Amino acid sequence: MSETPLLVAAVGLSEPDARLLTATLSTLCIRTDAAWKLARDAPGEILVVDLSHPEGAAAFAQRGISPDKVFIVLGGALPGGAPDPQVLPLATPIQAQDLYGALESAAARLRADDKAGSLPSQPVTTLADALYDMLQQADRMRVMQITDVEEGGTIFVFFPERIFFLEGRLSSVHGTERVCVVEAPRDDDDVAMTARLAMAQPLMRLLVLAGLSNSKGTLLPQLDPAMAYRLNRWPTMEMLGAVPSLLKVSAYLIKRAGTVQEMTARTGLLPEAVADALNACALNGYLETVPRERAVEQSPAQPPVKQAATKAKLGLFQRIRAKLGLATAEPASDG
Amino acid sequence: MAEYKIIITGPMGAGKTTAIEAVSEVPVVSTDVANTAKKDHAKATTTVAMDYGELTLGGGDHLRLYGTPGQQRFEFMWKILAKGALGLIVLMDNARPNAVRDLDIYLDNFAELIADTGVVIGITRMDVSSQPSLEDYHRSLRRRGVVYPIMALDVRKKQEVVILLDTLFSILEAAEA
Repeated sequence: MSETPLLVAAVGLSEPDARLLTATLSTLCIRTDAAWKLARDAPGEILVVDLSHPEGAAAFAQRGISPDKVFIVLGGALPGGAPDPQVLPLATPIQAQDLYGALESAAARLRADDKAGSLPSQPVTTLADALYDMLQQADRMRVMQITDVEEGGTIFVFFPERIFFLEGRLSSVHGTERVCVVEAPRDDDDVAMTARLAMAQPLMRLLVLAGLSNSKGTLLPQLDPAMAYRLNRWPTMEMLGAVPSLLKVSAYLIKRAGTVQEMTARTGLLPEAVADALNACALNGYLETVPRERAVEQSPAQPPVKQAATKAKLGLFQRIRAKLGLATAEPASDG
Repeated sequence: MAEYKIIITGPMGAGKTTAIEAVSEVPVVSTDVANTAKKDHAKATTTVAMDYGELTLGGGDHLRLYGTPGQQRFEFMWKILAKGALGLIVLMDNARPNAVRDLDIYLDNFAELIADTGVVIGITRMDVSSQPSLEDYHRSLRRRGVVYPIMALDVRKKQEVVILLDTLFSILEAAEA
């Protein structure tokens, strides 16, 4: 934990709001890598001000003389014009999770401004790389907190459920390039975190937003087209719905390992479609590499007699699908 | 004129008969008698030989859907029914006390059919009991060193049974590739 506490001052808050702020700071102390403290005798670095109170309005009016502070503002109308990076609005009545998120966003802005840093610096990476890395260990029970160091928004990703909650402003998830990632333990008694869990969405939606699952046919840089891959888990229905080629590629890969080229040849899919499917599996940690020799043993070529029987059987499945009302890629044959 | 068959197995009450009814073109022929094993399941009846449904494919060809009896004392019927099958569907009732362990029974008993063809696992009644989770079933498969499709479904909904069948066909097609 950081030795220098992050000071938060309350100006003009009602008693219930002040109590909520105190409780939220306690939660932050437990959940983050920083020491949070309510500033009583010293000026705060983050000011939570209620504009409907004269003291709050006065403190806010003087924010220009304190450009290094961040103001979390509630209870009044903000001046119009371009968004002020020094100001974070908060809706009333205050919700615990909103206050929690606003305080974290404020801290992130201070970290971005403060090069020496009263908080320990976290490695900065891209959103795509952050998501890829955390998905490789998706079975562990934990919460990953991704903060946009420039805009201050935060994404909470919950494992093993693979769901996420977006808090604050992530102006464009797809374009978020500089994020820092913090791991937090799961705590079922944490009210704010429980509320986020209840409102979380499937992680696949975040991957789609971030432009990762439908990668437009480009294999992720972490994947090698010359390597043979095998599936270690069947994809979720969400994934299958998001990536059209995934069903065929997954059906292929649970029986044997294959390279991109082999899968393209055997499934009849375009290489770009195979890449999209592999990316989706890799992002979710469902892909594993197989030594080339073992991959070759698993994929012997078919003799001609078997090829004819195969063609007949494939025709059969098309006919059954047509009977069940499923769309087929090819016209049903008589097998 | 060709006959093809798909086997649907799983414990009593998992929804085998209902799944066949959802897609069969003919009324399902069932061999149900009064259930005397109420301690295992509260159902009034249970299948003692098989359930039967079918789809006509044109040209005199038929796809036959066979539901096996669920109780393990009828497992001699499982091997008889499995002979020559295109593939296997295992339906698991998630509200049973040891649903994940039950899956092993069916994967063991149908191991030969699964190795020769393919299998898809459908988890029913997750609206009644959300635990175990699909991840628990996947973990069990990982311990066995295998990967099979697993999906939650409501067998009363035809479209969901169709998706289950479509997944099985994709597995079987991939095996032919």
